[in-house]
This record gives sequence, C-alpha cells and structure tokens, in this order.
Amino acid sequence: MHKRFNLSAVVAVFVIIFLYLPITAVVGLSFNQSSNSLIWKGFSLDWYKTIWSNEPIMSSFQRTIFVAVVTTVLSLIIGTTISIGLNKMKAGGFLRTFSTAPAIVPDLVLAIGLLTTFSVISMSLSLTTVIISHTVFCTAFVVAVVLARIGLIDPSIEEASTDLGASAMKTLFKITIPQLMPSLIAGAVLSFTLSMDEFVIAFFTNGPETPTLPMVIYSMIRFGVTPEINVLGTLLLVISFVGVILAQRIGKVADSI
Amino acid sequence: MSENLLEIRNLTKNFGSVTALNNISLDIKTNEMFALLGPSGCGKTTLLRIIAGFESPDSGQVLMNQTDLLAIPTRTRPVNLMFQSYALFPHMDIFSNISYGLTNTSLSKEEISKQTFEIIEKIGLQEHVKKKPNQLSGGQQQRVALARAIARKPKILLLDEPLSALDKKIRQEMQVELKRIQHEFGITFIIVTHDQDEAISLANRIAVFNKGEIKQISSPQELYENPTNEFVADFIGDGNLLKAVSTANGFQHPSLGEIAIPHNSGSGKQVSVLIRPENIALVKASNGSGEITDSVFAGSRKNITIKLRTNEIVRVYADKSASLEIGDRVNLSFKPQDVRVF
Repeated sequence: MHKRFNLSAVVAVFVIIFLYLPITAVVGLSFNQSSNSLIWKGFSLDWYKTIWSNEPIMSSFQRTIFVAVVTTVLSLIIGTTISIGLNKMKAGGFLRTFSTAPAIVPDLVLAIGLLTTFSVISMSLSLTTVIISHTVFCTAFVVAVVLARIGLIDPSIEEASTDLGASAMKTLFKITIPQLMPSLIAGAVLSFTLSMDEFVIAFFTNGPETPTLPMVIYSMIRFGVTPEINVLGTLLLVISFVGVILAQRIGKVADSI
Repeated sequence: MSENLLEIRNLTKNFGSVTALNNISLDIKTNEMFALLGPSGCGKTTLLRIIAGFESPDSGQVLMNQTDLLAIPTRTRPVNLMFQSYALFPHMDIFSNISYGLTNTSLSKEEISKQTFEIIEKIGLQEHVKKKPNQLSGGQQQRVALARAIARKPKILLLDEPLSALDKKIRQEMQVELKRIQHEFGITFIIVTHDQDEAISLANRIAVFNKGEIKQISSPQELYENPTNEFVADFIGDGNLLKAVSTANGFQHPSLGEIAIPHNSGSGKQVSVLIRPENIALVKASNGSGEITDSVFAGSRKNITIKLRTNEIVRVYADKSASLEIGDRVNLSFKPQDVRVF
C-alpha cells in the first residue's frame, strides 16, 4: 500500500524533539570534559566525581531530599485526611475546588502569602518554614488525586467493615487506605518531585543558611552554566524518572488487587 | 417458632420533608424468612438500615428478645447485612473476606481459621479460598458475601435485594441455596426486595410497603388470594382492577353488569374490583362485552388481552388450545368467590 504523507505525525515528531532536546542537552553536556559547558571537549565522568566533594552542593542536595521526604509524608497524611473528610461530608463543588486551590494559585502569590504569614507570627525562616510551605502546596495535589479515587469506592464497603464488627480505625487502615493505595502512591510521587525542584516558594520562605538545591543552582548560574549544574540537572532528572517509573509499577500492582 | 425475635414498634423516620417510615409496627419470629416488599422509595431499605444500625429512627423502638436493639452499637449488634452490591473487600482474598468478621472477635487465630473453613465448606467455596473477589463470577461473589455475613453467626441476617444482580438460572440456584443455608444455620432472614417473585419464592411472610407504610403483612399465598387493599391487589401478581359501583348485593359494572358478592362497603360507592387473569373464562358471543385485542402464546397458556366497552383492559390466561382470535367478541365469566372488592 502506498504510504500517505501524514502531517500530524511529522508535527508530533517535531514537538517531541522540541520537548526533549533541552533535556538531552543537559544530560549530554554533563559528560563534557570542558569546564565551559558550551564547548564539547570529549567524554568524561570527571564532573560526576568532583561534585561529591563540593560541600555546598552536597549539603544542599541532602537538605532538598530531607525537605521533599518530610513534605511528602505530611502532605499524604493531611491530604488523605482532607479527602476522606470531604467525601464523608458529601462536600459540594465549592469546598472541593477550595481545597485544591493552592495547586492552581500562582506560586508567586502563594510564596508572598506564606512569607507574610510567617512574619506576622514572627516565625524565623528556616527549613521548617520551607517544609510548611511545600506541605501547603503539595497537600493540594494529594487532595486532587485522592479525591478523584475516593469517589469511586463503593461506600457500602466501609459499612460492611463496620457491620462485621471492625472499629473505625481498623476500617480506615484495613479497608479504606488499601483501596486508596494507587492514588496515595501517585500523590507521594507528585509531592516528592514537586518539592524537590521547587524554587519560587523555597526562595521566599527559606532562611539564608540553609539553601536548597534549586537555590544553589540558581546562585551558580549567575556565573554561567557549568558542567556541574548539568550533572545536578541529570541527577534530579534520574531521581524524578525513577520515582515516576516506580510509582507506575507499584500503581499497577495496587490497581490489580 | 411463634416467639417474636424482633419487635418493631411505632417506628418513624423522616429525611428532611420526606417521610421514609411512618409509624411502622412489625413482629418477626425466630427462624422466619421475612420479606419487606415494595416499590423503590417505599421505606423498606430505611427499615433495613435502621435494623443494621446505619440509620437511627426519629421515634419508635426496635426490640430483639425484649431488649433495645437500637442501644447496641452497629459493630456489636447480633445482626449482619448482605449488601446488594456484595461490598466484598477487593484487596483481600476470599478467606480473608469471610474471616474478617471473626477477626473482630476475641477468638484465637486457630479458632478463626477453623470456623472460616467450616463455613467455606458448607457454602461450597473450597476451590476459591485464595482468589480475589474480581476473579469470581457474580453467583460465586454472592456466596462469598453470604458466607462473610453469616460467619459471625448473627441472630438476624439482612439481605438487600439478594437476587437482583443474578441472571435467571443462577437466581433459581441461589433461591434453593438461601433456603438451605437459612435452615442449616438457623438464622432469621429479613429480605428487602422490590421484586415480588423474589419475595414470594423466598419468604414465609411478606410485609408490603408503600410510601412509608405497611399495607399488609401475611403469607405469600394470602397476599395473592386475599389482598386487603387496592395497593396490594395491584402490586402482587397480575390482576385486573376494574372500577365499579357497589350495590346492596354486590357491584354494578357498566360493561359486565351486576355481580352478586357479599361485601361491607355499603351501596352506591365507587369501588375497585380485583379479578385474577386465571379466574376468568371466556365465551365467544357476537354481542359479547369485550373484544380480544391481543393474544400471545406463552408456552403453557395463551395471554389474552380484552378491551371492554368501558375501554378498560382485562388480561386473561386461556388454554393454549383455545380457539380465540384477535377481533373476536367474548363474554367474561368468573365465580363470585374469586372476586375481591375494595
């Protein structure tokens, strides 16, 4: 059969190239021997070695992971509680939209609001304020994901648990939460990746002594993009990808039960 | 057998301006198969949920063996519910589903396992112990739901539309099975259904509900043969309800003439007359009171539809060999003792 020229396929290919070319550039240039990241001098893993001994980068990297982990745990707990509550209340559109609003509100507005709040209650800026701020922001995403799932659960399943003598706590942990597992995993991955590379809110709400990785990268960029930044970018990319792939795998298993 | 297990006294429940139950009283005996039958929205499900503990009445009492059932929390009531949707726990295997109720007791692990396997055997689910609910057919899922609901040996098992989701063949199988289980475990069953066939085939006694009120409580046969009001007459079985005027000796129908039946409605009143399709005989006559408008072969019989001069439609079951054709004029004959007047 004669193959016809397919315009939409061509457009799709160009869009994909356009989307992935910058990412490919970051990954590719992270292996550049040259200290000027724009001139290719040959393949090298040197920058991957030197980065381990770069104290400011490594400590900010640790801080970022710490913030992301704590934020994820808090957002999951708070977000799931809100979702279960909204579902039990049979809450209407307004409350639902309201509880997911921080996900839609511009980061800048949220950041200014949080900063103002912290200064009103005279809370000094530190990693704690970053965690609180990221939790506000990520909880909204968790609520959005979990609410979508919780509405699909047959309410008589929880009633059956009570009818069979289970306490409210047992029903929550043995029946409700296992049913929500795929959405909890999705919410966790979202929270972790959102928090990990979040810049604007962290920039506003962090103290001067404890910069997170995106803040360190930002301050380094003022002197030009170095191969070290490309290495950091690649590492963040790998962590995000691994997270997403893991979530999909676990999600499939959780969905099949 | 005559002892009352459950006594429902003057139960009323409103949802906003909607009255779901209006001053309901009802006795259910030990080891009975009792059905709550009525159209959707008649209050039968509300009553079921009050007995199970998912709703509380606005007023009235529910007594089990003379003690207040409503004072017992939902999770410790000696009552279990088999949900219409089955509500099996999708992430647990069949064994864990069935043993779930027992894990909420103080029984040892060995004892739970022993009792669960006993039930699994009695309900015939041995091959499915390790499967997940979504790997089973509808009929098998229902057996799991049944096993799970009786595992705690409740005094009363509530069944919400137990056969509605099954296809015809499995329905019949499950009817027999439910009766067997009820007999074997000696549990009182209360069945909620909108399907009269389900109620008639399963229950010893039926309470017919309409708009939050009980219209009649009696055996299936009694409901069919001696309905006490027009609603029951219309709701149970196929029936012909004709508008007539009462006379001193019976009633006067514009098309069928005067029929002598003893009654106590007084004379000159608008009444409804019930005649079942199987109690009417048809005689061809050129000046007959009705005309055959439809005749459908239904296996063992013919379903004949007749239009009277009053434009009322009467359904009659005729012998399959009867030589009755569409367009024939016929006279209707029936025995006075087969007629009910409301």
